[in-house]
Amino acid sequence: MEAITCSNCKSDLRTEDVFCSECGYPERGTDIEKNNFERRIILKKRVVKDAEKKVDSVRIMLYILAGLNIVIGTYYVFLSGDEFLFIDGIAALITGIVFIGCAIWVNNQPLTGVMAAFIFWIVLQILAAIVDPASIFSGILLKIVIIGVFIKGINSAKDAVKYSEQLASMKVK
Amino acid sequence: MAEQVGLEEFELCERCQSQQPLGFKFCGNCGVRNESIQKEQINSAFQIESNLKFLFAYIFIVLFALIINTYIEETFLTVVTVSISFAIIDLVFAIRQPDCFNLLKKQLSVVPIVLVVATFSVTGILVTFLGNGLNELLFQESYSYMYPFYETEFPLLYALLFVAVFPAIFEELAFRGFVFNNLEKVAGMKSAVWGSSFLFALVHFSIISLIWLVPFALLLTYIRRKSGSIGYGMIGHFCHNATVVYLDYAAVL
Ligand SMILES: [Zn+2]
Repeated sequence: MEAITCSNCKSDLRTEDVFCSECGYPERGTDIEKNNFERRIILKKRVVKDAEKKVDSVRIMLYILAGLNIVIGTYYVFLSGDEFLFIDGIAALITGIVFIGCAIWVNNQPLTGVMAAFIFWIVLQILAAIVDPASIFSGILLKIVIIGVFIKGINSAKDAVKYSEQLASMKVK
Repeated sequence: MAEQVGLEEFELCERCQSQQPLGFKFCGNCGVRNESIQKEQINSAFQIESNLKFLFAYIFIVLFALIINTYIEETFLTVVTVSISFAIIDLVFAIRQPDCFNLLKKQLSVVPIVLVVATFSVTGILVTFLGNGLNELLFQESYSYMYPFYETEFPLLYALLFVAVFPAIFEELAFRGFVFNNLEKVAGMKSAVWGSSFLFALVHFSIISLIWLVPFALLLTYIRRKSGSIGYGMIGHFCHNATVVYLDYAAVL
């Protein structure tokens, strides 16, 4: 066998090798093996894309939560004229700003961003429950959905990192 | 030609048992990914996973303790118990990752100490006036850190011990120590700076207080990062809390 370069990653193949030792591409393999290699890459790319979509859904949820808080906060602070609502309004505005910050964080650092937002959301629920224990059960279905989105987001962020690394080891951009 | 090379430069592929160069990424004969290299990757993923578990364990234990704390009536005895409980929680976590104690080994110099004392005395004064203003707006009354300590023989001394000394030592050890270290390993410097400051502010359980607690924590984190020591942070944190307590005490006099 003559010396050749890998058509996937351009590194030199040793003369006795069927597979590229750098990226695993079956350079001297059968067409079926080459197809399998391509299919593995496509599958991993799809997993990464799906994971990124789920992380995106966390981001959208954070923007919705931020928007709701900012609308309520603005109403309480500037429009209601109620002194007691004023302070709740300030808290809502801060909450909204923190959620926006978390959404930006998710964009840069998916895993830590989603976790920070999740912990913040949990603390908000705890604070509400301390003031009024019955608040735990109000909108319980929505809360379960939110928890689900957060947990899916954390797992997806991990998957995105893991499969991106595997693709990188197969020299795929 | 390949047969001339010493045996130690080869390892066997786990799947097809063919000889492959030491540290190969993929087997040239069967195409399988090299397990031992993969194990290294799994180890680093495992390390991150264990850092995350450590952080989550700490946060949930602290949140749980804080929830219980809100249902306990504030007396001198309960304040002492709660302070010591939090100190034990922080110490247990710090001992599990003892490298955070290295942040205490550095010799502190005089000029930075003076700067830190001055800066954090000023932040203490600012937060007292901001906090009093907000509390009066919020509850139509002012809250005092001193209440639980009036029943004791030396109110100011005990207040300083449990409101200034304890939090300064243990919150710095936790949030600028192991929380920061773990976050840095998981997500890098920037996330560690923001994440540890944000968590520090969150465990004070007040949304309004985020306004000054986040910048306060960012300043302490900045000092820890620049100096490589949490000693300055402990001094600063103490000065801040001590100023708040003293102004509280003086206002009642
Ligand atoms: Zn290759």
